[in-house]
Amino acid sequence: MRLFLKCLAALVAGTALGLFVTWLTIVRGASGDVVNGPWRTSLLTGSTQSGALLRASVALHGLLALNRSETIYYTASTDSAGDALDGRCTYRLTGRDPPARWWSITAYGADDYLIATPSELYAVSKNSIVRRADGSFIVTVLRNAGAVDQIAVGDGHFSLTLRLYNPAPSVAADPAHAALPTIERAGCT
Amino acid sequence: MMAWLKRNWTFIVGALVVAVLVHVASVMAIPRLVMWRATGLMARNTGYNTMSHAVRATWQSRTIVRPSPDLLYSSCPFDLDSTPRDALHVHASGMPDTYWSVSVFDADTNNVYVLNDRRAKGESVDFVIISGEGDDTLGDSGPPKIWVPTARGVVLFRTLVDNEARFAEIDAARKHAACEPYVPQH
Repeated sequence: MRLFLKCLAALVAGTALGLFVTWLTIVRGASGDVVNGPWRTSLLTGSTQSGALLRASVALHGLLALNRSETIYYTASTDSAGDALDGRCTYRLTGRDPPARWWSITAYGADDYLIATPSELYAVSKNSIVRRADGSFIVTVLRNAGAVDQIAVGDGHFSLTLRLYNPAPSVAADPAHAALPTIERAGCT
Repeated sequence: MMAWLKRNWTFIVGALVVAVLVHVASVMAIPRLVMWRATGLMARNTGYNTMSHAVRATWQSRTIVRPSPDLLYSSCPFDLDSTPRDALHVHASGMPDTYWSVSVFDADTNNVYVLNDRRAKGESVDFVIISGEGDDTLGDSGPPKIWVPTARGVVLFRTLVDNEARFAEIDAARKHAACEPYVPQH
């Protein structure tokens, strides 16, 4: 009887530990092995060559992602200083048009879905931003947005996804050094 | 403590082996389970092997994670085993004059095929999905065949709304995308 209980305890403990490690690496873990400032990506997203860990991560956090020939996805969960993105703070994204046929930046809640806000300003894109005279732009990310070059994120933690549709070959060749917007925290309430 | 470890080291090693096995098994299973749930949700209203055109994504869109609000999604969850010839015909003509892509995903979430408006060069979309060893009687005639490793998966059209003033026009045109079980015309 005692032997049976020990075996059972080992089985339960091992199962719990295995699932915890999976949760830690896949559910909670940051996806993408390429780092570009606050942005992370993987060139193997959507590819048949992607490993089991990346495939599982993409299934949970970016199901039906296209491969790099069509779209490259960068995700940021922190600002440029490394602090977690938080809806109680206001952020400024500063940059120029990334090298792609089309691009957009979209905010998602901790559950990986679009965030419910009164304005429903979920994203900015190549056609919605306001460029300054030198071609650069500033996008404001804040709790309650109200303008086309703003993104509303509510109160909680969030992440941003930068999609590059038909990216320039230079991005796939060196995704860690593509010119992407910076994410600066402007203040918190 | 040391005495307890010495007495139970076989169970500790056993638990660690179980942990490794459970971790590997769960990581391997996640993509197929997530895809199985997603295709089930997509097929909830229209069934498999037919195209449905989702409304624009909002915070209420909960079928697929991280939808893009500047894209219109049309999806065809497929189950080739339930088609007469184990084949699915995907076609679209008159797609809108904007960025669009059609992609095929297998049951393990791999993006096994993608075509966009530029590579299509204004031609209509027209291909047949087959899986496994396929149906030899289909032959080489008819639309090009796209081989998918699994009998289940999803065909997904993404159509960009690059100009809000053209939304109605783009939305109407993307609904030309369709899929149905393939039956060769002899």
